[in-house]
Amino acid sequence: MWLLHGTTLRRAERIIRVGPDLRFVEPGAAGLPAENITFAVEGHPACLGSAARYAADKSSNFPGEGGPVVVAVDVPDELVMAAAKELAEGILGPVDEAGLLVAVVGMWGGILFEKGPAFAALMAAWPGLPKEIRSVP
Amino acid sequence: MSEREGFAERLKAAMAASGEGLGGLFDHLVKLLIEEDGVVEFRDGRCLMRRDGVGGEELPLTKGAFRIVLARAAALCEEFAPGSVSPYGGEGRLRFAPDDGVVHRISFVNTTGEQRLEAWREEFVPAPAERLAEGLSPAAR
Repeated sequence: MWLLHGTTLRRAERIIRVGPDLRFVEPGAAGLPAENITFAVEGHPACLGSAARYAADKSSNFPGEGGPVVVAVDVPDELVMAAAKELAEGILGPVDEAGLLVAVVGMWGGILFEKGPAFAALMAAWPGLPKEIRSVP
Repeated sequence: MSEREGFAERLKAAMAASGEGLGGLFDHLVKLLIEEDGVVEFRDGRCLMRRDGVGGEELPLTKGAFRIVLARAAALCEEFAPGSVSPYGGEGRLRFAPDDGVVHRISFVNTTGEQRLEAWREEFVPAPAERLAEGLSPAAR
C-alpha cells in the first residue's frame, strides 16, 4: 500500500535517498531525535491527519527547507502489519493480525514505525521500494 | 487489582470489549482519562497517567503509540473546528462520532520533546441532525 509522509522538500530528498532516520534531530528540538515516523495510508480517511497538512505545518515552521511536499512510498502490506503488531502487542498482548490491519487502515488511516524489527525490515527493503516526492498544492 | 493495574487494565478491557482492538485506543483512552480527571504524559521513557499532578500510573504505551493517540486528537479537533489546533498541539474540542451529542475538550502537546494529553467532558451540543429536526439550519450553528 502507498504510504504518505508530509515534510519539507529538503527532508524528503534525504528520506528518498537513505530512508527515514529515527535519529534525525530537528532544529530547535533541543537535541532530541525523532524516534519514529508516521505515514498516512493513501486512499483512506486520514484519521491521524493528512500528510499534506503535516507538510504545510512543517514547512511553515521551517520556511527555508524548500516548501511542503509528500514522500510517497509503496510498502508491502506485511511490513505495515508488522509495525502495527509491534504497537498493538505492547498494549493488548497477542492480537489477531487480520483484524489489526483492518484497524490500522480502516480506523486510523495511518501507521507509525519506531525502532524495532518492523522498522529494520522497512529500512532493509527501502532501496527497492517504489517511491516519489509529490508536491503539495 | 492494584491501583497501578487499574487504569491500564480498564483500557485494555475496553479496547478488547469494543472489538475495535487497536483502532479503539484513542476513544477509550480519552473516555477513561475524563473519568479519572487525569493527565497522560510521556516522561523519562514511560507513559504515565497522573491525577492532581502527583504520582503516576504507568500505561503500556510506547512513545510511538502515544504519539498516534495525540495525532488522532489533533485530527478530531480539526474535524470539529478547522484550524483550532495544529498537529503539534493546542486546545480544542472534539466529538468521537459526527452524530455524538457530547463534546469533549482536550489540551495536548505532540512534539519531539513533549507529549501530553488532558481531556474534559464539556457541554451537550446538539448534533447537526438534531438541530435540523429542531428547525435550525446548519448555517445557524
